[in-house]
Amino acid sequence: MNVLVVLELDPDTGADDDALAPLDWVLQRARRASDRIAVLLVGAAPGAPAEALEERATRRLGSWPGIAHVRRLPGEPPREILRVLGHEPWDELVVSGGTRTPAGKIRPGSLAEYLLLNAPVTLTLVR
Amino acid sequence: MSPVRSATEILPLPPFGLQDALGRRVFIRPAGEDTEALVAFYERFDPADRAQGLPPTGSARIRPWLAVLAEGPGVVAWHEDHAVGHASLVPDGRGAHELVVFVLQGYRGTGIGTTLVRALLGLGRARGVTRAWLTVQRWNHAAVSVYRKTGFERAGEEGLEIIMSRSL
Repeated sequence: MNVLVVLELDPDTGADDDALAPLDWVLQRARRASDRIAVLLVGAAPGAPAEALEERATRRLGSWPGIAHVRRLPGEPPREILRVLGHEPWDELVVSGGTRTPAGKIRPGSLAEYLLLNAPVTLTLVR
Repeated sequence: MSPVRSATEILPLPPFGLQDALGRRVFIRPAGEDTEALVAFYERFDPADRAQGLPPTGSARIRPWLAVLAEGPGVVAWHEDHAVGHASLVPDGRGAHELVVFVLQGYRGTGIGTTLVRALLGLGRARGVTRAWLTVQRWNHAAVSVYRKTGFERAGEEGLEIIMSRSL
Protein backbone atom coordinates (compact mmCIF):
# COMPACT_ATOMS: atom_id res chain seq x y z
CA MET A 1 0.00 0.00 0.00
CA ASN A 2 1.32 3.41 -0.97
CA VAL A 3 0.46 6.10 1.53
CA LEU A 4 1.12 9.78 0.99
CA VAL A 5 1.22 11.78 4.22
CA VAL A 6 0.93 15.57 4.19
CA LEU A 7 2.30 17.47 7.18
CA GLU A 8 1.32 21.12 7.28
CA LEU A 9 3.46 23.49 9.30
CA ASP A 10 1.33 25.92 11.29
CA PRO A 11 3.21 29.22 11.72
CA ASP A 12 1.65 29.62 15.20
CA THR A 13 2.47 26.21 16.64
CA GLY A 14 5.48 25.08 14.59
CA ALA A 15 6.75 21.52 14.64
CA ASP A 16 4.73 20.35 17.65
CA ASP A 17 3.16 16.91 18.10
CA ASP A 18 -0.09 18.05 16.43
CA ALA A 19 1.84 18.82 13.26
CA LEU A 20 3.13 15.23 13.25
CA ALA A 21 -0.21 13.58 14.11
CA PRO A 22 -0.99 12.31 10.57
CA LEU A 23 2.40 10.58 10.37
CA ASP A 24 2.07 9.11 13.86
CA TRP A 25 -1.34 7.73 12.91
CA VAL A 26 0.02 6.10 9.76
CA LEU A 27 2.99 4.58 11.62
CA GLN A 28 0.73 3.24 14.33
CA ARG A 29 -1.50 1.58 11.76
CA ALA A 30 1.15 0.40 9.33
CA ARG A 31 2.21 -3.15 10.03
CA ARG A 32 3.59 -4.45 6.80
CA ALA A 33 7.05 -3.53 5.61
CA SER A 34 5.76 -3.63 2.06
CA ASP A 35 3.86 -0.41 2.77
CA ARG A 36 5.45 2.62 1.25
CA ILE A 37 5.19 5.92 3.07
CA ALA A 38 6.03 9.27 1.56
CA VAL A 39 5.83 12.45 3.63
CA LEU A 40 5.32 15.87 2.10
CA LEU A 41 6.01 18.93 4.23
CA VAL A 42 3.99 21.95 3.24
CA GLY A 43 3.28 25.45 4.47
CA ALA A 44 6.80 26.15 5.61
CA ALA A 45 9.11 28.82 4.36
CA PRO A 46 12.75 27.69 4.57
CA GLY A 47 13.91 28.21 8.13
CA ALA A 48 14.27 26.69 11.56
CA PRO A 49 10.61 25.51 12.03
CA ALA A 50 10.63 23.73 8.64
CA GLU A 51 13.94 22.07 9.47
CA ALA A 52 12.63 21.01 12.88
CA LEU A 53 9.54 19.45 11.31
CA GLU A 54 11.61 17.65 8.67
CA GLU A 55 14.00 16.37 11.32
CA ARG A 56 11.23 15.14 13.60
CA ALA A 57 9.41 13.42 10.71
CA THR A 58 12.64 11.76 9.53
CA ARG A 59 13.43 10.60 13.05
CA ARG A 60 9.97 9.04 13.43
CA LEU A 61 10.47 7.15 10.17
CA GLY A 62 13.87 5.94 11.40
CA SER A 63 12.45 2.76 12.93
CA TRP A 64 10.09 2.09 10.02
CA PRO A 65 11.29 -1.00 8.11
CA GLY A 66 9.59 -0.19 4.81
CA ILE A 67 10.35 2.33 2.12
CA ALA A 68 9.92 5.88 3.30
CA HIS A 69 11.03 9.33 2.41
CA VAL A 70 10.41 12.89 3.46
CA ARG A 71 10.52 15.94 1.32
CA ARG A 72 9.55 19.58 1.44
CA LEU A 73 7.02 20.69 -1.11
CA PRO A 74 7.66 24.10 -2.58
CA GLY A 75 5.17 26.24 -4.43
CA GLU A 76 1.42 26.24 -3.97
CA PRO A 77 0.69 23.21 -1.73
CA PRO A 78 -2.80 22.18 -2.94
CA ARG A 79 -1.86 22.00 -6.62
CA GLU A 80 1.55 20.49 -5.91
CA ILE A 81 -0.01 17.71 -3.85
CA LEU A 82 -2.43 16.89 -6.69
CA ARG A 83 0.54 16.83 -9.07
CA VAL A 84 2.39 14.35 -6.84
CA LEU A 85 -0.79 12.25 -6.59
CA GLY A 86 -1.04 12.18 -10.37
CA HIS A 87 2.51 10.89 -10.83
CA GLU A 88 2.25 7.60 -9.01
CA PRO A 89 -0.46 5.14 -7.98
CA TRP A 90 -1.11 6.19 -4.39
CA ASP A 91 -3.69 4.27 -2.40
CA GLU A 92 -4.35 6.80 0.31
CA LEU A 93 -3.72 10.41 1.22
CA VAL A 94 -3.46 11.25 4.94
CA VAL A 95 -3.66 14.85 6.13
CA SER A 96 -4.32 16.73 9.34
CA GLY A 97 -8.01 17.35 9.96
CA GLY A 98 -7.37 20.93 10.96
CA THR A 99 -7.15 22.89 14.17
CA ARG A 100 -9.47 23.36 17.13
CA THR A 101 -11.12 26.46 18.55
CA PRO A 102 -10.48 27.44 22.22
CA ALA A 103 -13.64 25.50 23.19
CA GLY A 104 -12.50 22.48 21.19
CA LYS A 105 -14.59 22.69 18.01
CA ILE A 106 -12.87 21.21 14.98
CA ARG A 107 -12.01 23.67 12.24
CA PRO A 108 -11.17 21.86 9.04
CA GLY A 109 -8.13 23.47 7.46
CA SER A 110 -8.48 24.95 4.01
CA LEU A 111 -5.94 22.47 2.62
CA ALA A 112 -7.94 19.52 4.00
CA GLU A 113 -11.12 20.92 2.47
CA TYR A 114 -9.47 21.43 -0.90
CA LEU A 115 -8.10 17.88 -0.92
CA LEU A 116 -11.43 16.46 0.24
CA LEU A 117 -13.05 17.95 -2.84
CA ASN A 118 -10.26 17.37 -5.36
CA ALA A 119 -8.01 14.43 -4.45
CA PRO A 120 -8.57 11.37 -6.66
CA VAL A 121 -7.74 8.89 -3.88
CA THR A 122 -9.10 7.90 -0.49
CA LEU A 123 -8.52 10.72 1.95
CA THR A 124 -8.06 10.28 5.68
CA LEU A 125 -8.27 13.28 8.02
CA VAL A 126 -6.38 12.71 11.27
CA ARG A 127 -7.53 14.62 14.33
CA MET B 1 -33.04 43.25 8.84
CA SER B 2 -31.99 41.91 12.19
CA PRO B 3 -32.76 44.10 15.18
CA VAL B 4 -29.98 46.40 16.32
CA ARG B 5 -28.34 45.13 19.49
CA SER B 6 -26.66 47.61 21.71
CA ALA B 7 -24.72 47.50 24.94
CA THR B 8 -27.88 48.66 26.70
CA GLU B 9 -29.89 45.64 25.57
CA ILE B 10 -31.45 43.97 28.59
CA LEU B 11 -30.08 40.49 29.16
CA PRO B 12 -31.40 38.21 31.90
CA LEU B 13 -29.07 37.40 34.77
CA PRO B 14 -29.28 33.85 36.12
CA PRO B 15 -30.49 32.22 38.30
CA PHE B 16 -34.07 32.28 37.07
CA GLY B 17 -36.78 29.81 36.09
CA LEU B 18 -38.83 29.40 32.94
CA GLN B 19 -41.51 27.19 31.54
CA ASP B 20 -40.43 25.58 28.28
CA ALA B 21 -42.68 25.08 25.24
CA LEU B 22 -43.79 21.72 26.63
CA GLY B 23 -44.72 23.21 30.01
CA ARG B 24 -41.69 21.86 31.89
CA ARG B 25 -40.29 23.98 34.68
CA VAL B 26 -36.63 24.57 33.90
CA PHE B 27 -34.11 26.51 35.99
CA ILE B 28 -31.10 28.34 34.59
CA ARG B 29 -28.23 28.72 37.03
CA PRO B 30 -24.60 29.83 36.77
CA ALA B 31 -22.28 26.84 36.40
CA GLY B 32 -20.28 26.08 39.53
CA GLU B 33 -19.90 22.99 41.66
CA ASP B 34 -21.87 20.82 39.26
CA THR B 35 -19.13 19.00 37.38
CA GLU B 36 -20.53 15.52 38.08
CA ALA B 37 -23.98 16.51 36.80
CA LEU B 38 -22.36 17.94 33.66
CA VAL B 39 -20.30 14.80 33.10
CA ALA B 40 -23.56 12.82 33.35
CA PHE B 41 -25.23 15.28 30.97
CA TYR B 42 -22.54 14.88 28.33
CA GLU B 43 -22.46 11.11 28.77
CA ARG B 44 -26.21 11.09 27.96
CA PHE B 45 -25.57 13.10 24.80
CA ASP B 46 -26.44 11.13 21.65
CA PRO B 47 -23.24 10.75 19.56
CA ALA B 48 -25.40 11.44 16.48
CA ASP B 49 -26.11 14.91 17.90
CA ARG B 50 -22.46 15.87 18.12
CA ALA B 51 -21.31 18.76 15.96
CA GLN B 52 -17.83 19.94 15.00
CA GLY B 53 -16.28 17.20 17.12
CA LEU B 54 -18.10 18.22 20.32
CA PRO B 55 -18.98 17.21 22.92
CA PRO B 56 -16.15 14.73 23.50
CA THR B 57 -17.22 11.15 24.20
CA GLY B 58 -16.43 9.25 27.40
CA SER B 59 -15.79 10.76 30.82
CA ALA B 60 -11.99 10.56 30.39
CA ARG B 61 -12.29 13.09 27.58
CA ILE B 62 -15.28 14.99 28.94
CA ARG B 63 -13.60 15.95 32.24
CA PRO B 64 -10.54 17.81 30.90
CA TRP B 65 -12.75 19.49 28.29
CA LEU B 66 -15.13 20.68 31.02
CA ALA B 67 -12.14 22.15 32.84
CA VAL B 68 -11.38 24.23 29.74
CA LEU B 69 -15.02 25.40 29.51
CA ALA B 70 -14.91 26.32 33.20
CA GLU B 71 -12.20 28.92 32.50
CA GLY B 72 -15.00 31.31 31.54
CA PRO B 73 -18.58 32.01 32.66
CA GLY B 74 -21.05 29.15 32.19
CA VAL B 75 -24.75 28.44 32.73
CA VAL B 76 -26.63 25.20 33.23
CA ALA B 77 -30.30 24.43 32.52
CA TRP B 78 -31.84 22.09 35.09
CA HIS B 79 -35.00 20.04 34.82
CA GLU B 80 -35.83 18.21 38.01
CA ASP B 81 -32.45 16.85 39.14
CA HIS B 82 -30.83 16.64 35.72
CA ALA B 83 -28.74 19.06 33.70
CA VAL B 84 -30.47 19.34 30.31
CA GLY B 85 -28.47 22.19 28.80
CA HIS B 86 -25.08 23.82 29.22
CA ALA B 87 -23.49 26.89 27.67
CA SER B 88 -20.11 28.48 28.21
CA LEU B 89 -17.99 31.45 27.18
CA VAL B 90 -14.39 30.31 26.77
CA PRO B 91 -11.62 32.95 26.78
CA ASP B 92 -9.90 32.90 23.38
CA GLY B 93 -6.67 34.54 24.57
CA ARG B 94 -7.29 37.47 22.27
CA GLY B 95 -9.65 39.48 24.42
CA ALA B 96 -12.88 37.83 23.26
CA HIS B 97 -14.79 34.68 24.25
CA GLU B 98 -15.98 31.72 22.22
CA LEU B 99 -19.56 30.67 22.93
CA VAL B 100 -20.66 27.04 22.96
CA VAL B 101 -24.10 25.70 23.85
CA PHE B 102 -25.43 22.15 24.15
CA VAL B 103 -29.03 21.10 24.76
CA LEU B 104 -30.17 17.52 25.33
CA GLN B 105 -32.18 16.08 22.43
CA GLY B 106 -35.55 15.92 24.25
CA TYR B 107 -35.27 19.59 25.20
CA ARG B 108 -34.47 21.11 21.83
CA GLY B 109 -36.90 23.34 19.98
CA THR B 110 -38.52 24.37 23.26
CA GLY B 111 -36.86 27.74 23.77
CA ILE B 112 -34.34 26.44 26.31
CA GLY B 113 -31.33 26.92 24.01
CA THR B 114 -32.24 30.54 23.25
CA THR B 115 -32.88 31.30 26.93
CA LEU B 116 -29.65 29.57 27.93
CA VAL B 117 -27.62 31.70 25.50
CA ARG B 118 -29.33 34.91 26.70
CA ALA B 119 -28.64 33.98 30.31
CA LEU B 120 -25.01 33.26 29.47
CA LEU B 121 -24.63 36.60 27.68
CA GLY B 122 -26.14 38.33 30.73
CA LEU B 123 -23.75 36.53 33.07
CA GLY B 124 -20.84 37.15 30.72
CA ARG B 125 -21.54 40.87 30.56
CA ALA B 126 -21.75 41.00 34.37
CA ARG B 127 -18.34 39.32 34.51
CA GLY B 128 -16.67 41.65 32.06
CA VAL B 129 -16.95 39.78 28.74
CA THR B 130 -17.12 42.33 25.93
CA ARG B 131 -17.23 40.22 22.75
CA ALA B 132 -18.54 36.75 21.99
CA TRP B 133 -18.07 34.69 18.84
CA LEU B 134 -18.81 31.20 17.63
CA THR B 135 -18.51 28.90 14.65
CA VAL B 136 -21.42 26.87 13.33
CA GLN B 137 -21.86 24.48 10.42
CA ARG B 138 -23.75 26.30 7.71
CA TRP B 139 -26.42 23.60 7.41
CA ASN B 140 -27.21 23.67 11.13
CA HIS B 141 -30.24 25.95 10.67
CA ALA B 142 -31.66 25.36 14.15
CA ALA B 143 -28.43 26.56 15.77
CA VAL B 144 -28.02 29.51 13.41
CA SER B 145 -31.60 30.54 14.25
CA VAL B 146 -30.82 30.51 18.00
CA TYR B 147 -27.70 32.63 17.44
CA ARG B 148 -29.57 35.17 15.29
CA LYS B 149 -32.31 35.46 17.91
CA THR B 150 -29.68 36.14 20.54
CA GLY B 151 -28.02 38.95 18.62
CA PHE B 152 -25.22 37.20 16.77
CA GLU B 153 -24.44 38.36 13.29
CA ARG B 154 -22.48 36.70 10.56
CA ALA B 155 -18.86 37.86 10.79
CA GLY B 156 -17.34 35.65 8.12
CA GLU B 157 -17.18 32.16 6.75
CA GLU B 158 -14.57 29.48 6.42
CA GLY B 159 -15.43 26.66 4.07
CA LEU B 160 -18.22 24.67 5.64
CA GLU B 161 -18.60 26.95 8.63
CA ILE B 162 -20.04 30.34 9.47
CA ILE B 163 -18.42 32.59 12.05
CA MET B 164 -20.86 34.74 14.04
CA SER B 165 -20.15 37.36 16.67
CA ARG B 166 -21.69 40.07 18.82
CA SER B 167 -20.59 42.62 21.36
CA LEU B 168 -21.90 42.69 24.92
